[in-house]
Amino acid sequence: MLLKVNPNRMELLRLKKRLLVAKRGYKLLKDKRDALIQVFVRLAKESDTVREELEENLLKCYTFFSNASNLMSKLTLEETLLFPKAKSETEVSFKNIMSVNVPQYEFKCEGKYYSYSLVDTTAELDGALKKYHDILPLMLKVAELDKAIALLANEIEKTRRRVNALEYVIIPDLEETIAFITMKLDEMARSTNSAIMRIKDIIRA
Amino acid sequence: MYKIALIGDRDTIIGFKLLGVSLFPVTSKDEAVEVLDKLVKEEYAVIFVTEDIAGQIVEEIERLQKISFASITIMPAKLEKKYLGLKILRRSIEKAIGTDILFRKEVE
Repeated sequence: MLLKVNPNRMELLRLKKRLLVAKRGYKLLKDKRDALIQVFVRLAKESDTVREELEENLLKCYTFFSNASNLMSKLTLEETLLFPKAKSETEVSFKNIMSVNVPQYEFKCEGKYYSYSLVDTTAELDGALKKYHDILPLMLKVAELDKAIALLANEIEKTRRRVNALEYVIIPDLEETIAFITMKLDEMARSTNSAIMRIKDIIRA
Repeated sequence: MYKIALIGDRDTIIGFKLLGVSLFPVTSKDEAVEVLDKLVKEEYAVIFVTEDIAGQIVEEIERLQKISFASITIMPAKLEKKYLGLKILRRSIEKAIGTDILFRKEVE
């Protein structure tokens, strides 16, 4: 589609500059998109395997815990779980992947989680808690990958839309308009030329 | 330092109690949405939602995952595997690159 501009030399220069910028931007964005997809594919595959591992292990954890809780009376279990002493937190840092800020989590557990009387509880509970404690870093890893994938997918979609807009709309439009203005200017030059020639003939005669 | 939260049915998440993770037992969909909305505004970096609850509020999770600081992750529940996390992963892969690259078993 032709842009709505006046066909003069100044406009032509301006459009030529814009075309240069658009072409350079297109190249850069295309590279960005390719790099993002490369990272994304790697992360997606990693997430797939890590998630599978987590699901397997977590189900094992649940089994351990139910075994433990079945061996104790409901009341004791409630009492045991009433006051946790430990505190699980996470440290967040950011990693920059192609200008997308992706969070990274580091698991921190303060205090002992064996905060109950060993007399009333079974050894299974200790084991189950240890398993839960060990699986949290894996859970955080999955969370990290999930977030990274959501953010990257968003960014890829955005970048792809920009690349397509440049490739199929802006650059063709600019080229067409530049061609139009060039032809118009040439036409004007020819018409002035012929007018001058005609005037010359009239004066001579 | 940021906190970790778990949303889900009580039986599944109770085991994490002694580790000092914040637990939010919920039973209904509305309750879950309410808790989730509240948590993303607070100092939680990671929010886990069990699959059975997550299945009912998928749209909410996907929306918040995109705009909030916290990472909202689906974890399997006690009773059965529904592969919901994997389904969401596949959907975002398809959205990003237009095809399924995980040629793994079918999960339907």
